[in-house]
Amino acid sequence: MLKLRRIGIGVGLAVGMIAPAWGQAPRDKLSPEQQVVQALNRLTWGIKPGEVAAVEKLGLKTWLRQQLHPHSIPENPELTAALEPLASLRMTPAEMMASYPPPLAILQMARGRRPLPTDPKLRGVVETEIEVARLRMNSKNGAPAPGRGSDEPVVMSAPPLEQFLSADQVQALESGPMPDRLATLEGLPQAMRQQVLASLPRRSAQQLAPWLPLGQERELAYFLMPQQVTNLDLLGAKVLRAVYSKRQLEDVLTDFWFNHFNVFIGKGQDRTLVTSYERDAIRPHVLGKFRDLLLATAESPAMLFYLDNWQSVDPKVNQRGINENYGREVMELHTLGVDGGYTQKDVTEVARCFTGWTIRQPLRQATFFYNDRLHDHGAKVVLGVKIPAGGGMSDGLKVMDILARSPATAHHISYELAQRFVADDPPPALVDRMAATFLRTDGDLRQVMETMIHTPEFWQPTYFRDKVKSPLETVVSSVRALGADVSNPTRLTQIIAAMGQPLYAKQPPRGYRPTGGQWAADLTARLNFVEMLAANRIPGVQVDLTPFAPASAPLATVEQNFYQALLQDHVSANIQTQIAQHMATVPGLPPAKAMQIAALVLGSPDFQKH
Amino acid sequence: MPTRRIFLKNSALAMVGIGVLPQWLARSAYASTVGGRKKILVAIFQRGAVDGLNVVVPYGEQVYYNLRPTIAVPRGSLLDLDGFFGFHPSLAALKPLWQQGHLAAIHATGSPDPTRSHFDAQDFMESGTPGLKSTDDGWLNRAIGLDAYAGASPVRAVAMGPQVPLTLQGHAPAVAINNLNAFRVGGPGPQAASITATFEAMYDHSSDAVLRPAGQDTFAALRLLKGLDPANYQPENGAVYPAQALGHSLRQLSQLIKADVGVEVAFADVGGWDHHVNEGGVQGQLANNLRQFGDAIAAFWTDLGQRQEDVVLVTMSEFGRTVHENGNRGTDHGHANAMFVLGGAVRGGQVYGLWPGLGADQLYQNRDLAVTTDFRDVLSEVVARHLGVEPLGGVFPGYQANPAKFRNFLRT
Repeated sequence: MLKLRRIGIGVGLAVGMIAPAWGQAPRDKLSPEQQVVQALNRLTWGIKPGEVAAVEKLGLKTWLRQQLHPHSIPENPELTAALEPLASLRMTPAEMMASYPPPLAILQMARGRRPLPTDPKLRGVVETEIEVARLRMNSKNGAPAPGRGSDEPVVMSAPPLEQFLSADQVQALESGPMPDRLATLEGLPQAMRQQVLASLPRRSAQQLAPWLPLGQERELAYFLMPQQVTNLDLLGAKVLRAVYSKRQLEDVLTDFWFNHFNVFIGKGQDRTLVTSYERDAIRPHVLGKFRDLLLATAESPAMLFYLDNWQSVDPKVNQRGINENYGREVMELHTLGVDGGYTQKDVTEVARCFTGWTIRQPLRQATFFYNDRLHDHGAKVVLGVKIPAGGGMSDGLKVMDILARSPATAHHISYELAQRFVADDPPPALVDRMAATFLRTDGDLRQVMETMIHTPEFWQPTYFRDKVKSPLETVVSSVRALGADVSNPTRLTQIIAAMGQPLYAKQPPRGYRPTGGQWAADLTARLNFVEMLAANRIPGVQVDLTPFAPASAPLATVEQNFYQALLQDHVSANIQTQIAQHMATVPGLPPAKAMQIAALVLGSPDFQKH
Repeated sequence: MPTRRIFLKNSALAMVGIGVLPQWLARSAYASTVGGRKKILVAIFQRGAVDGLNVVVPYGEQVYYNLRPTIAVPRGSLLDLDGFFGFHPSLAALKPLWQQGHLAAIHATGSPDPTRSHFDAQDFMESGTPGLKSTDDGWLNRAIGLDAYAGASPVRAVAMGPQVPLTLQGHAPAVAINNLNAFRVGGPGPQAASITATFEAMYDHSSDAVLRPAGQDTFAALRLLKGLDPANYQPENGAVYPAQALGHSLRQLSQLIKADVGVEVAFADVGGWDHHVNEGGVQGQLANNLRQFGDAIAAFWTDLGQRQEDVVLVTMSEFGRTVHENGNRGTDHGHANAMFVLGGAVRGGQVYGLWPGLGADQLYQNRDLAVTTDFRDVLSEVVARHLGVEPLGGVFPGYQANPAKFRNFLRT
């Protein structure tokens, strides 16, 4: 124990030294193989078949070093290909609003206050939206405007299906069984397929959507409501990355930091601002300096809008005055923590510092803009630090410095990281060590992560597979464990939402807590999910259990294969007994029973934890 | 002495053995308790800050019309309640309940906390501790926690939705039922029962401090609700639920209540009330929402039939909206609001509370309806007089609810 501490300190002081010597670690606690399992379980979205062996071959040290330097890892070409059609992922908010106009923009176009798009396809879609908006505005009894009822075609002016298809095809498409519908669509040339999708009655379109490859569902969503596409892209990409990315730790950290600096996608303009927020303000900084991350979020239109700071102004300029929302949350949630020692007065003073931090043209450009005219230039005192009068944007920057460097912040951040990656109730010694690194390195998040990982507590048997998975972790780890393919992640995102974790949609700034208790209320959703997954009945996901259950394999072998692949052979006796007892009563050959075994293992308490 | 849970297990097995399973579990061990049927409290949260001034309209105040030139509800369109207040016409379905004396409103209710953040205010109202962000549990969970007893039903506290809201979070067990139709596990095949039993055994023997109790609660609830046939449930007494979220939730809740599975407190929420733009008056977004809101609650009431005596339903929203309209035919975040109470024990047909008036010197911060009844007093009255729970300080920590200050909308 003492040896490791010395080595640990050595690591901390020797800047640039990346991995400690492992040999002296108290590894009598977890075996080398268990350490690999622990690392994969906690630092990725779930273990894939064969992955433990691969990492053992590579060397755990090397794997950790790679994951802590994501740019050194070539990305999975499958992922790159899957993300390619999701065009909105690469757009600025301005481009997104131009290409997928939100309802307020449509309203402005309807009132002649905003130019119509020049792109002919987009123009056609938008003109329909404007029609609908006008009808709704003029509607006498407030009933939903035509074109939004379930039997109306998706695009009001779309020609009827009979113009493109034979009577048989129309019949198959509108009311046949799902495989027939898909087959009919599949057989059409792409240009015609787009027309057909636009002409489908709304109900048929909605039933069909989750079964289509994501690219086609996007096209359909485009005609239903262009704004929906950006949502599909963002949520779909999150699941696709979690399943397919080789830069697993970076992706897990992006999830962590988004949650820490939570923004609710459902609040007004945030719908078009969150994509850029995650891509430009969060992801690039997850292993960088905390102050850079903090500043990026403070300047992001998404955060400015979400916590209303964009409307916070010097009361002498506008009687609407100061909005304290951001001033409070930046201390309570983002940096110092609720017990971080700030007062209500500090909240007001911080809010004053951020007056003028606003958004230029929220419905068009949507970029950060410091407007000095709105700023409260008076003198301020924040956490005992005097900020003289006459400052401009520097006031807010000064606050960033004070907060980013505070020991309370170091402790709060370290605690949250430890809670996510180590234990619901993390050991104080671990948190202190991480906080010390944070302070010493001026908030270098990579080094804080290294301190956490290279610490004995991370490798203690008490923390081996004892964290209850969140819905996102449950779904993604199940998909990864079975080696399933995801051709359309939309249904998965809906399942995750139904389990209580709608992505990007946590309303309060606090974000999702990483502790197990809150997730356990809905076991039925988890058990139903794994049953459907194992049976290959989830739209957009393809599961093939043959690798686990080859043709002539006896039952015991099949069971063993699943225990090995899904739980790395660390299975409690309880689970094995229950499953064996149950499977003995099931008729049929072992390969046919593979579905049930898979469901039982994935749904077991063992797999619900990582 | 066997606990009720064991008793139920045996009786369920017995029913299976006989080969008789009722269409839905008409009687269970929870159907009657010592001292008569348990009372039921249903909390409905309107998320987004509903505009109470356009719901229970103070048409007697000229200022209301002055400050809302385009979205005020004209006197002639209102459903008059008492010569000063009127219902928005979209609440036509609730008018008979008012006239029959089952429905009341308490106006100018709200929180002492000045926040106008939806998130904060909702949390404060759900936790029952305005101003305190660190509260991790909800008032309703604490209420039933104070009245804990052995053998309580696993669905004693139920949230109709995908998650347990803060209102129902806490030490007492609570179940989230998103869709009663789908509240089962094991898949569609012949193995379903065996798979369910296997899962149950796995969780029962687990040593995990979180998963084991979660498993026990879930499987107990599953067993209990197994006999229900929600897809074929027929609402009674001609009740017709609107085909939208609140309608679905209340329909399922009604079935659960009448199935006597031991529901005592329930929660449902409905969003879409944040009408900054195009709120409208007689017509508009608020009108549409209110129609479905009123229809759903009226259907629930009708469907309950004889159980009306046992139920009190209370509605709330995190804050109200500005007295004046804004430039977008809507309103902005305000302060005080109106709450509804509906139930057999309610002394209905009245607007309770102390109306502060809408004059310039009567408004809160020169813009909003002022709070004259703390929402905790309303909820305390329901908790104390309907559920019989005490002490109230345990339900609303840090607050001294004083029965002398209750508005007395419940018969004692």
